[in-house]
Amino acid sequence: MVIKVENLVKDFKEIRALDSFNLELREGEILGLIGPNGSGKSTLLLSILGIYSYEKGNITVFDKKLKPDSYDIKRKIGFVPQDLALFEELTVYENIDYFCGLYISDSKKRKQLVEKAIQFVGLEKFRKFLPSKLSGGLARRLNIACGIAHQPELIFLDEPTVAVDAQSRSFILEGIKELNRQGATIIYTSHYLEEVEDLCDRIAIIDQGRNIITGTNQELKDSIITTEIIKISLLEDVDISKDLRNLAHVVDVTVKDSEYTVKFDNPKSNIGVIVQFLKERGLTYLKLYTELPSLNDVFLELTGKELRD
Amino acid sequence: MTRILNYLKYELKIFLGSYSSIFWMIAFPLLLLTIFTIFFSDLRFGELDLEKASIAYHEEAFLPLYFVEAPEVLPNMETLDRTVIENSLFKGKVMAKDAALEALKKDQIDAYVDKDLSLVISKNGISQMIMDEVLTTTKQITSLNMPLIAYDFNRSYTENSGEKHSPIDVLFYALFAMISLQGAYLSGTIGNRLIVRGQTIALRNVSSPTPRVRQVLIGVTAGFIWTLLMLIIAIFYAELILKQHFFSLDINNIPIIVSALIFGIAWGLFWGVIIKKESSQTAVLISSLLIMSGIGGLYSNDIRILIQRLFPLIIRLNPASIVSDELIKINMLGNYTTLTESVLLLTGYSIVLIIASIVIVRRKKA
Repeated sequence: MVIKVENLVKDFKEIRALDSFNLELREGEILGLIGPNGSGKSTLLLSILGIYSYEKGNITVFDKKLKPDSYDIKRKIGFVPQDLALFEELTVYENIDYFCGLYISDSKKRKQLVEKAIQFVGLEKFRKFLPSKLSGGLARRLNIACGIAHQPELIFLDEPTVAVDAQSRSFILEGIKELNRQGATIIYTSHYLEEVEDLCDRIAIIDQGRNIITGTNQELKDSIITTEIIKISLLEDVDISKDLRNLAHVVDVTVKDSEYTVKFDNPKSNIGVIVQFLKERGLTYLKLYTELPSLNDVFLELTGKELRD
Repeated sequence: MTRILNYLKYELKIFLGSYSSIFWMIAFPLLLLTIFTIFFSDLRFGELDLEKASIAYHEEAFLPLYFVEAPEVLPNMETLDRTVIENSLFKGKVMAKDAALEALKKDQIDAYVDKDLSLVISKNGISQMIMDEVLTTTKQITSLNMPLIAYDFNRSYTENSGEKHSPIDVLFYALFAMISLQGAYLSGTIGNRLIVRGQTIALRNVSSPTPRVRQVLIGVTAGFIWTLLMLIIAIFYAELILKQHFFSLDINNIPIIVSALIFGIAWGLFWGVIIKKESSQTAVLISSLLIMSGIGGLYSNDIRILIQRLFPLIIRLNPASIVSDELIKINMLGNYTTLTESVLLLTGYSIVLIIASIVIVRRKKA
């Protein structure tokens, strides 16, 4: 096990940021942490990194407790913080060299690693640029390069795609997959569900400092009652929610902006049932479509609120 | 070693890349030095080219005033005309006090020197300042029982009190004291980088395998080197460009300058670990250094004299006063009596500040 967190409790004065938190990170996997802002994702990362102390619990990294002087463990770790952590006065090359130098003392080796990192994040043309001259996406790439240039075995990525354009986001996500293919174990926080679904081998849903559930994308979806969601918009202005609730296998009906969302617990397709239902009442639909539960639905069902609330 | 040099190089680049650091550490002191030189260099009596002050004096003040400039041949004291004096600084005539006060009102004279060498003036001006300086120094010589013939206007014949220093020189030395404390700006940012929740860069630094102590030492060393460099630039600028001589080649300058540089760095480090926001941190450092230097005489020797009279302990404990006093004593008076005490005091301050910074950083970890 690369990381093991057991019954972790972390308080900030009266606020409990992490509450009996448990987590395991397996070698070679990408583990995604999802949860709304303030749910405890960054606090968890900083606690694992030994930057925050904690009230109770136990954390081991590479089977050892991480202390401030655990330099042998720290050497294997790369950290990409949520906010840009760059020197505005240093160029792209110098920033990477500066932070890589905290891990690698051999100047020849460091030079090679810095060059590799520059290529990896696609900043070859910008090596002499100051961070202020880079676009938001390029600056994010530089932020990542500074955290991974020393080729760590374990990488912490704290919301690396926040406020990034689509092109850079895609570049960054591909880069993360490549790091994983090269052998790095990755712990990744985000509140972009699609990214997490696409990228992560396993996902942990965090809310109010608690680990609600951890599993693969499918395991999480299988863990909830909802199996299918059908959305309907009608031509007629009538209220059919009560009737919909009386249908077999319907677990929930909500109406928002005249659109009905009907959730089923029946593993089979339910679209035919709905079509028949509308036909019997002589109703005409403007929109009718079906979808499988998303991570947001998992989150909604497990916590009672939407992830993006 | 190459790694440390690499970091020193980056620390310099980070420093040079910050307009605020450049202004406060380089431009501001050199600007003040230039302004002080333009306005006050003549008053240092180095290159006087002024109209002589026109004064009146009490007959008992004749001798001290007469010997302000030592005559090449000693006069016959019995036949010496005591009713008039003329030298390169002033011309004067003996006058009764009432008549002199009337003459002052009518602007016929610049100043009146009473029998106790006190100065009466009706307005402020260069001539009056010169006379004030002349009399201050004359009183110093008299109080030390030194022969008047040994008078030299380029020296202050005192042991330590700021009150007795040349008022103009105090301004310049207070400025040099301020420059030597300016490392605070550099170490402030270094301290800030070590606050875990203060800056994102701190997260990277703290989670790295490079011990925090080593990171601090590298940063502090860089701060020390660049501040020393700034001080050397200021000294050379004064000597070569402004043609003002302040520093003699006295090895005793080294301990006081080194302890001043270390104190400046410790001061910055302390505030750097306390204040997260860089702008607030710079504001605190700038104002604290300006206050310290102000108490040390940067704006006016009168302020310094006033504080010394009311709260002498403040002058003795104020780091900028300690540094400027010692620089004056070493370079102008060749006096080292309080040097060890001053160096120890500054070192003590530095140790306390560094320990406090470490304790704060450790507590902020949680």
